[in-house]
Amino acid sequence: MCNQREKLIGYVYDECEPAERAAVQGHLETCPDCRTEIAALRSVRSDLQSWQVPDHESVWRPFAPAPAPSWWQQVPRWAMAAAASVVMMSGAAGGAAAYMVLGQQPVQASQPAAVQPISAVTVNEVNALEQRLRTLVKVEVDRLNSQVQLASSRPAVQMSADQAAAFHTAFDRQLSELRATNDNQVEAINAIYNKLGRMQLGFDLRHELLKTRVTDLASAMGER
Amino acid sequence: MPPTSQTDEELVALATAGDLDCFNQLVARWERPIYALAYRTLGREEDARDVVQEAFLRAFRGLRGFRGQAKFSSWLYRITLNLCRDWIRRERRAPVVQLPEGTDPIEVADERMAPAESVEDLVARKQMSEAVARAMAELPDEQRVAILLKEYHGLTFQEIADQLDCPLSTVKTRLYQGLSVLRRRLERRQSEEAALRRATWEGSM
Repeated sequence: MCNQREKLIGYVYDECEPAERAAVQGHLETCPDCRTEIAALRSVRSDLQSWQVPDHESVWRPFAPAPAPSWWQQVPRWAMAAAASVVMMSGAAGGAAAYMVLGQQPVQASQPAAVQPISAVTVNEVNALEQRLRTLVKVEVDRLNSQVQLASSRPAVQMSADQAAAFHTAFDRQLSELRATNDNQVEAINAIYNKLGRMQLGFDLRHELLKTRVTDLASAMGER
Repeated sequence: MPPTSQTDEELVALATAGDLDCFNQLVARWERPIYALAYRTLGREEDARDVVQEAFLRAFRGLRGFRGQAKFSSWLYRITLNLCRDWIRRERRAPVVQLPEGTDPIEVADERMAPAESVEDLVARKQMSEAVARAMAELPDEQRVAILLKEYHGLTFQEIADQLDCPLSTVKTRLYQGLSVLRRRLERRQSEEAALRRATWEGSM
């Protein structure tokens, strides 16, 4: 038993069959050398636990698949809301103006109709832009996917050391190219985001313009 | 990121089906142990960071090829160990031990987490940590990796054998030999330190 290290190791790590465990225990009662050995192994194991790993920040830049779907939904949502608010506010303001001017008379259809062409154009523009964005992002995602697939579909082959070294070099180069491409794609997506921001700004401006027009219209009607 | 009750393998399946956030969750779950393995293997924080990033990138790229023939963690350990091996081979050097410029008790005291631990204990623990790192760095690769996987990652003998493509008995032999060498080195260090303390004490009389 004294030369059977495997059994001592299994015992120290508590990874042995109950019978083997009992056998080692029995042996330990009669063999002071092995008792010393076991104690020493346990002491080293406890020393090993003092080896600390320094704290570190995460190295992973998480995939952001969420922006794609969420801004899908965001585009139409805020765009529709903005479009709806344009219609509603102008409608309400027009209605109020009509009420002021026309007294108790019901609001006439001709007043909201004055702003409707603008809002209709706006909604169509938003739809068209959304369509364009969907297409753009789909193209980006498809390209990324095909690159990922290409990179992971290398067949496994037996290589000599030289071949392996060459492969590593090629792999590293490919990887850095892939990273550069990814960065470009992230930039492209950011550019789309910016466009979206500009579009929202355009929307807000148009909204303001519309409000001004309604006010002008109301005061013009008041003056009349 | 909220903890999920999904198994690694379920997350792998979802990530393969296109839910990339599931892969982020796998990273969040495994980054610490993988970093620890890389750090203890390579000995340098920058190297460990690079290897961890690369390991997860490779895992991601190979996700479709991972068919659950092993645990996800085993697969990830294998990728990491391969990268570490390549790294050491490419750098043509043994693992390094980063040693701070002497241990300053005051600086150490600032870092301490458990208030119950005395500064002396902390210094001793830090010194022991460095001594272990040094002793481990001197071990042959195959013994070091076996000890790392057993002591810090709790793999079974069989799992280590699978990782290292060697028989179960070889794993036990490597563990035994590695621990024996470590024990001699750490004991020598302790006796040297005791002698040094004695000498300092006598010198100051």
